[in-house]
Amino acid sequence: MQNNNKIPATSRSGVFKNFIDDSGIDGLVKYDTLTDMWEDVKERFSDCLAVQDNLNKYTYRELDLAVGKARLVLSQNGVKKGERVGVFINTCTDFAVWYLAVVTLSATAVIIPDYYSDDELSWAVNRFGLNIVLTTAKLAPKLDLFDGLTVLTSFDIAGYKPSVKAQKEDVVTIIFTGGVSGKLKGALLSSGAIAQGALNGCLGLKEVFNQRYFLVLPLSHVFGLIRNFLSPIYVGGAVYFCSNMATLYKSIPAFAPSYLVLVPALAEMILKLATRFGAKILGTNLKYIICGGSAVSPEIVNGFNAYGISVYPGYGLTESSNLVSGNYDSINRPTSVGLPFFNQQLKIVDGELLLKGDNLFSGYFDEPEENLSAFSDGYFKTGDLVRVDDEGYIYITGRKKNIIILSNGENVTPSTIEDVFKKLDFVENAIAYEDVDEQNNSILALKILPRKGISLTKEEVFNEVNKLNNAQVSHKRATKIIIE
Amino acid sequence: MDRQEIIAKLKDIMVFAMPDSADAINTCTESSDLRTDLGLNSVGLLYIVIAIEESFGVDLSDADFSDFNTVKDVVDYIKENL
Repeated sequence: MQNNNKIPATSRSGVFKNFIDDSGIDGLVKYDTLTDMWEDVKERFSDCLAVQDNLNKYTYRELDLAVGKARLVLSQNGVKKGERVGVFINTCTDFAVWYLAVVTLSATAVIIPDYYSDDELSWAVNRFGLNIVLTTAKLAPKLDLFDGLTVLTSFDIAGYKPSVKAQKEDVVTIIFTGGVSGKLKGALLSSGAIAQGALNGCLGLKEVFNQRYFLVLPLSHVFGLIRNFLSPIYVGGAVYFCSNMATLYKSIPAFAPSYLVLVPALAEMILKLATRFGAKILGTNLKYIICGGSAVSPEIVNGFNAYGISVYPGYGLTESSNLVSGNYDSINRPTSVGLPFFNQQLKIVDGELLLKGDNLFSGYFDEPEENLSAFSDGYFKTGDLVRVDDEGYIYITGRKKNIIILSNGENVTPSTIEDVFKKLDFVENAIAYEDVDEQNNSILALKILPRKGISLTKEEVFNEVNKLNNAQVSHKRATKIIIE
Repeated sequence: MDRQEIIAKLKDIMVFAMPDSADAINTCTESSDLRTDLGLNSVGLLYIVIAIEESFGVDLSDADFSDFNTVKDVVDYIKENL
């Protein structure tokens, strides 16, 4: 074992102590870097199942052999510590292999959402100066439009390149976020910050080690990448990468996860499916649902509780390597996002939560002005308005951010939606905003102001706008359109 | 199963998923837009896909449900794959 840092006594004696099995916390290690984490767990859990999808299955030992091959491929293509490498991979075990290879070389994985359009891909490749992009055979054709870009799809090679010694501050991942201002940018996450973020995901739980996780969230978000992939790996878990959401109904029972990590809208959908078609969709082993991304309703907590499944809401940000707090007393405090994890300092200024700590990001990539305005006295300004009760439980009361958080957990920046519709020559102005539907779910709405004197009728304007709306990726489609 | 029977079953599935939108769903036509007329978001569509699979016995695992825009698109897919 390279690193034997035990969890600090402060966290062991705190409120979390009540919720952690002693044997669980005694085995938990605080790793300084993701590389230290991987080098330890690959030995510690070598024969346990690590990752699986509908085609492949790897134990920790097998995964390490594949990661060593991928590191060799990267090295042969000139990738060194600190170099940015695009990771444009759909949800499958190849993501696990390539991602672990990049971060254990202390290179920087620039995670590109797998649904990106050609324009968005161009933005990512140019903005981050990418020369190499890792992808799968399925997505590789989308990269054909880039001259001179090295596209790697295979790590099938003889050999094994060991990992490179990492420092805590090595930036190993860039995640795209609108942050507080709403402007799309890259958050720089260090090896140390992600290691702390992954550990946070393991704290407060009664059963920690060797759990079975089903991964359906996007890996381009920290909730998917860190809580649903790296936290389970941190403690010898097995992760099933679900590449096709439409197969949930079969793949959850087949894999029988003990944990699901979900945004509230997905949790609600699965609950409805279970109510209508029977509990078989939940599998035979499901005990816990980690839920976050937007507000978790008491109906979700109570609905799953009736099936003997605990729903634990949490709160986190891209900039804090995911989890800031977790609520393990959700039955009694359904509207709280819980207690903060250790190694963080929190303060509240004018109602806004400010954060500092081991899990915090290292700033935004090449955004000097944003970086100045994002911090105050070394604290990151979250843009979230909170209150804290007498026992330290945090409640989100509002936000100052210029983003829309939909009930499916997607964060939408209004200006990026508006720009799409402003390009129509008959549109004077477009306004994207948050509305609620009849069930009080947050929805994306769009108001269009047509130019004066155009020959189109209101209905024709609507039809054109609706056609363009339906051409957007699903989470960027408005569910309400108003023509002024 | 004819188109009317498929639509009736589809409405039943959607009303269960979104009871507060029952009026809009019960009065929808084949040209109704799933998102802007019936208020379905990406997760709602996923529910519909899985519920169709379970109710109609149709395998939708290869369907790209982001291509479903109207009630007609869904009915066509079910009809072709029944």
